[in-house]
Amino acid sequence: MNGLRWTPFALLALTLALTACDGPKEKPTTPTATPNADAGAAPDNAVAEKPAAQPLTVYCGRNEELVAPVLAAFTKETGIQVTTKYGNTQQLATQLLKEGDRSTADVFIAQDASTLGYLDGKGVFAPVAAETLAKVDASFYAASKNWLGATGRARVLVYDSSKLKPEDLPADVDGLTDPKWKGKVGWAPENASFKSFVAAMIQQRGPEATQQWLEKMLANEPRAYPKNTPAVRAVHKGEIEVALVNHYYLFRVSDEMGGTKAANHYFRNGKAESMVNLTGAGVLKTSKNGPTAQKLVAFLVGETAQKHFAEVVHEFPVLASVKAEGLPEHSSLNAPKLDVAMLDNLEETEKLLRAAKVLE
Amino acid sequence: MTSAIELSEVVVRYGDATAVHPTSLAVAPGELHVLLGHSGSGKTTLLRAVAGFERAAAGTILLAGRPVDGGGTWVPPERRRVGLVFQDYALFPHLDVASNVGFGVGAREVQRWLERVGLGDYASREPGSLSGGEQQRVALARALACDPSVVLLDEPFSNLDRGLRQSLRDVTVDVLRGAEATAIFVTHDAAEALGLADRVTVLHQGVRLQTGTPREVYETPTSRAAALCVGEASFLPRDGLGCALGSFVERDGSVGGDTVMLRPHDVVLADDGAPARVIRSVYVGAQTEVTLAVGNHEIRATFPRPVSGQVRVGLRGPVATLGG
Amino acid sequence: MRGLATRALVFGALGLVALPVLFLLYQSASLLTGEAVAVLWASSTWWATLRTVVYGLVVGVLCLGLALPLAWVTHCTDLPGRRFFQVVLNLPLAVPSYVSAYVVVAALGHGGWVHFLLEPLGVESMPDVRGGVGATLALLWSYPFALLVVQAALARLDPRLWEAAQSLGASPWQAFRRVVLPTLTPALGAGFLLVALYAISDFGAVSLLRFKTLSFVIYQRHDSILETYQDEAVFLSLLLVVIAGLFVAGLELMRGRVTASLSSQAAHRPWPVVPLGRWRAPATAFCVAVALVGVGLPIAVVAWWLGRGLYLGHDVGIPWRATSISAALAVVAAVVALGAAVAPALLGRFGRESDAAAVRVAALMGYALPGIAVGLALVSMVTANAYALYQTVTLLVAAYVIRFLPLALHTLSESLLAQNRRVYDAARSLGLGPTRAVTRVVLPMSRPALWAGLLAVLIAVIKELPVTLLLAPIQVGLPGMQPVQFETLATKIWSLTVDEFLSQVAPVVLILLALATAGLLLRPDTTKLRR
Repeated sequence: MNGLRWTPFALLALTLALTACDGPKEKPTTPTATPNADAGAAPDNAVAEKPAAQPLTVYCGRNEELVAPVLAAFTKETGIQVTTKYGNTQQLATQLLKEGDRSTADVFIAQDASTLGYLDGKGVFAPVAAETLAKVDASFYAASKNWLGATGRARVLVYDSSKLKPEDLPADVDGLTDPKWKGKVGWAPENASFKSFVAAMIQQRGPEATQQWLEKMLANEPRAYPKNTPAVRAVHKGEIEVALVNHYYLFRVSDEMGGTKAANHYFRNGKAESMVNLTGAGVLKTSKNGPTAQKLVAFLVGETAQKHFAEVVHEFPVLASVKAEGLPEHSSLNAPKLDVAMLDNLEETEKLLRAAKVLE
Repeated sequence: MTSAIELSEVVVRYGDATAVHPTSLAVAPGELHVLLGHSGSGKTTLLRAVAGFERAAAGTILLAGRPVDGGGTWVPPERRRVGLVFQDYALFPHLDVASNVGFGVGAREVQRWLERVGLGDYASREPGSLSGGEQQRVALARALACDPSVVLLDEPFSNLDRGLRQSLRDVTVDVLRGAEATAIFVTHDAAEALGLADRVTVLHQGVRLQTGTPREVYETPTSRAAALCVGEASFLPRDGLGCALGSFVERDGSVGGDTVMLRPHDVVLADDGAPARVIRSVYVGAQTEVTLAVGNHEIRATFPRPVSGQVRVGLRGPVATLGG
Repeated sequence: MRGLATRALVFGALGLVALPVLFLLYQSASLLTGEAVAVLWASSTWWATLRTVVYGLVVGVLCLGLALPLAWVTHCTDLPGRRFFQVVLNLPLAVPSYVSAYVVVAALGHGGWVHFLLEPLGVESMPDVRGGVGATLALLWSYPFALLVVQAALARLDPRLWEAAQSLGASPWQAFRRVVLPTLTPALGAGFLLVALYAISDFGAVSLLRFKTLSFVIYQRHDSILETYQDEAVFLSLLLVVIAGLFVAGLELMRGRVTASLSSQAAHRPWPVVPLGRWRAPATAFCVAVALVGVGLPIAVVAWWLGRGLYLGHDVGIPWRATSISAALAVVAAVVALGAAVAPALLGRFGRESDAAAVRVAALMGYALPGIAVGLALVSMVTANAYALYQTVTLLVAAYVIRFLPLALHTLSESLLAQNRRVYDAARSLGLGPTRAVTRVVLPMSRPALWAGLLAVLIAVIKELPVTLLLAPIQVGLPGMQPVQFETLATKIWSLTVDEFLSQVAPVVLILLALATAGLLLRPDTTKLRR
């Protein structure tokens, strides 16, 4: 029991040590801190002959498992350290707005275009470097040129290939309101990707028709899942027959389960359900490392990153020279022509989803 | 007549340890029987076996002629009709006094029992607001209210101070006698045992040493251990009809043996007695407690007055003899 | 204990607990003229409120239904392996709700283990376990909150009361119903309250199983980037706090008359005194079943994920960083929370009755402060008024302390009840001032209590999700070291399960369970202490 006597002191010491580590971090967050003070705060990095680039802080609304390898490759290639705060895209966006010009974030990586569009509307982004934009087709970046798509995610109907053939599937989402699908459809209504899809539908059909569709769907008792992946897994297990999700979750489930009987069906009908949503990134206007941050954004649409997204994550690359394995040609999807920036009608979408009682 | 309680060759074990060695005992109806012994003597264990909270490892227990334990029978405590009174009262804290007394299955005449123990006005009081003595009287009323075949009292007064203890002892005896109850009363206090028992059983280290009337166990114990359990005693080797204090007359009922047992009051100051040296003399009011050296023996005596130095002592009357 | 300084210290600590509520009040007052206040009359809010209340009541009653018989058979009867069960049956506490929710789906969902067993019998589909049913089942893992309280109360119950009842002709069932149950009433109430409050502030299970309680709705609102919706989250948080407050108040009113047994200094005859007889087999089976489901099932499900991942050749690593950050944070937060709880706990034990009541309510109120409300309030507070604290370990630790100070206080107070207050008087009579009497006698004697409080907070911090999610710093490190990216076991489990990286999440869950279990096993059994 003698050891016990010293335990409180050891714990106290640990407490002090851990909280002390806030010290160096707080300096750059203080709005009054000058660039010189910043350099002084990180003397370890300042030894090289040419001033080493400042480490970057990235807010990443995509899953760590999917993005971390890309950021590691970036650090390896450029020597620029990256610290990442992972989280939910919408939450991080909220946080960025709350932080305002005090934010330490340099780059925001988001998993859907509407959030990027919304943030852009609030004026948080600096323009993306012209040479980066030049690498991709204009449909992959905002008209404001303030953010850039990194990958594409197609809306699909995942179906149970052991029970259904592609010709059994409806031609559009209106088909899913048919009573024969009652209780057999899964969706993830809280998910940002679903909201973007509804936003696209509003853009195409107008709010009344969209609300009607939602209400008809609800009458057909769809099963709701907290995220897309559980919805696909439910198809995999035979709990439901089809699920309205993004295309890449199928690969996620297949990887996890070692193969699956679930399959992707692309509507290819030019309507909202055929849309290709963008994940993307932008440089924060408040970043003190603008040029370095631009390097990272450029890297995301470079060959290395694009290959990773295409081959490992199974998303549609935005770089024409990279081909995605196991995915149809992007051009074959017959995706609707949407103004991605217009997808920022999030407020209208959320209100509509609540009015239709899809969301609480 | 059937005994109210009859134990034959009862053994109680806790795991490997034997708490009560084979013990037989019979208590007559209406008898107030005391189990007397130091802690560890097995007296409480025996009581709990009668109540049904311990199971006999061997032997049988009969209550009013009905087997309740042993020989393949087992009657659970709630069907033995025993009233139990605990050292620490064990009143139900969530019930008022009347509800405590009326708790028992078949409890009747709650108010009358409260009056009998002198707590007629206490019916709606909370147990927590009562003094120790009052709580114990409630516990007694509670045990008696459901007309038990026997009442078992486990050191009921040992948490109380001396004055209260005496008055409560009187109340308890009166109430038990008034109810013509058969009772087993466990105590380590010899004076208490002698004062209220019809008969006393002396227990020591799980063995029954002696059963008898208070006089018998006090005046003619059957062994040194039994003698010491019941009160102060000195022992002198016997030499024919004499001992270190001279010749003696053997008391009626003595078991006989080569040892003479002396209670303190057996020794008196006598001018023609044997010489003795006073080792210690303690004045306690009505008398003086004296330790004497007689030859190479030490004996205890009570004298009416303080003494010192050399005195001469003799025997007051017949004395008990017992085996080594 | 009556000094002004002590008082100030005590109420300062309790004020800290009240801080998030006060800020929520302040914030909602400033929002009263806005659009968001309308959320309070929305029918969806009423439904969510109703669900929340019913959820709390049902989970509370069910967990009590598990805890009471378990406490009874493991404490008072001759159940074989009692000591083993006393320890093991508390271990489900190590399983956070965001893990038990997965366990429920894996076991009872379509294509789950039960379905697998039933399929040969012709069962084609399983009923949907998501929603209220699943969330309720997932929260059954919180029954040890009630079990611990009931066990402690049974330890204080004098077995002679049971014997007295039996000697008066009460059958075991009657003795239980008429004597044990009434004397346990306050403990049952407290156990119910702990579980119910845990349920109404639960975030993990309701999110994963989409049961639309207030917590769920608050999180959805908070998730939105629309300001109006975030403002609505403020009102809804306040509503949740009010509901929790009503639970506490309701129970405080229903509190029984007498709490402790009347028996005095006489040493208790130790339990157990109740032979199970022919109930031995069913009682043992019941305990084994609860232990298997509560402890065995989560481990089996996670091991299954891990096994499948390893078989498929997934890259499964040990999360060293998350483990060490979680452990360090938990230790620091526990030490600080315990330090802040000592003075109020002592006041609650040795002070006036009015102080004791205030401390008790504060201790319970803390459970009622949902993590999401604490996190939300603190984020808004520091971004508005103390930006230097934003995204710091200091703020995160402060949030943990606010959230779990009541837990430390509660554990400490419970344990202090077992302490003889005459010892304090004895120390005073030996010439020690009040402070020295406390530091030299009361606290050293309370070492088991202090350990119990420390470990309780430790486990809670390791499991805590919403506060960590909302207040996570970007990076963390020790002086002189390269800071590393911040993550904890809880946030890692959360982010990995969002996209169902099940084989990767398995080792994280196992480590979290191991740490929490170690905490539970190390915790001294304060119920064994006597007054």
